Amino acid sequence: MEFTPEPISAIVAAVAAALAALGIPALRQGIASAKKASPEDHLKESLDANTKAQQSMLDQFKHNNNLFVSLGTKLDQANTHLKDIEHIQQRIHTELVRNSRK
Amino acid sequence: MIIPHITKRPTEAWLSGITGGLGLWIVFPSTSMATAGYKMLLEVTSELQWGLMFMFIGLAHFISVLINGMRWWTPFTRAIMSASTAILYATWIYGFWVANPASTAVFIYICMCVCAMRCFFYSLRDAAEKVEAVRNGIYS
Repeated sequence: MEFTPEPISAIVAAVAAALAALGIPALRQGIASAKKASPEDHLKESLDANTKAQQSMLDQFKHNNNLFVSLGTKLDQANTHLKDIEHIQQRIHTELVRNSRK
Repeated sequence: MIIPHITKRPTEAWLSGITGGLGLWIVFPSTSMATAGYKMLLEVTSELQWGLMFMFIGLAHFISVLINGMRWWTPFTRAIMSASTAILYATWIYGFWVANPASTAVFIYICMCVCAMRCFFYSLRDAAEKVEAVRNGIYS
């Protein structure tokens, strides 16, 4: 087949026509989509997004609170163990003093 | 910040990246358009000019996709660059078709052209949506 540059303009025109044919429904869809979304819809969308963000923060706060409660319980347990150790140390000390007097 | 913009339009990001990359490959100082299929295309313009066209269109398209929605003009440039990409690939289809209609390049570039047309459809829809939204007072 022989190459001639002339058909290139015809190809460009054909592609441009195809793009124009595609463009009309695209424009219609875009306009319809924008009309569907009124300012109230836009506001509702923002409110929903904010509510979701707040819920997420609340969940995170609850999770952190549970962690703090768990930490507090563990600290209480550790404190009790420390008191037990102190008590044992006290007994050992008393025993040592009594033995030294013998 | 920019990554979500690309993930919303993955086909366009892919197409523009491929187009820009192809341009860069052609512009690279070596003879990449040396086979018989390219001989016809080289009668239209030089290898460097083909490469620069692909590179410029691909890069401009990719930047538009990167910052899509951050500037009012991005859907419009996306539409213009998609249309330019489609025309560019259509020209290449013709060039390869003349050399050998059964060439695999014909099929590949038809796929790329269809992809560019698809991107044109969605970018033009975004542009129309943006214009209508501004007219309705949703966006300033």
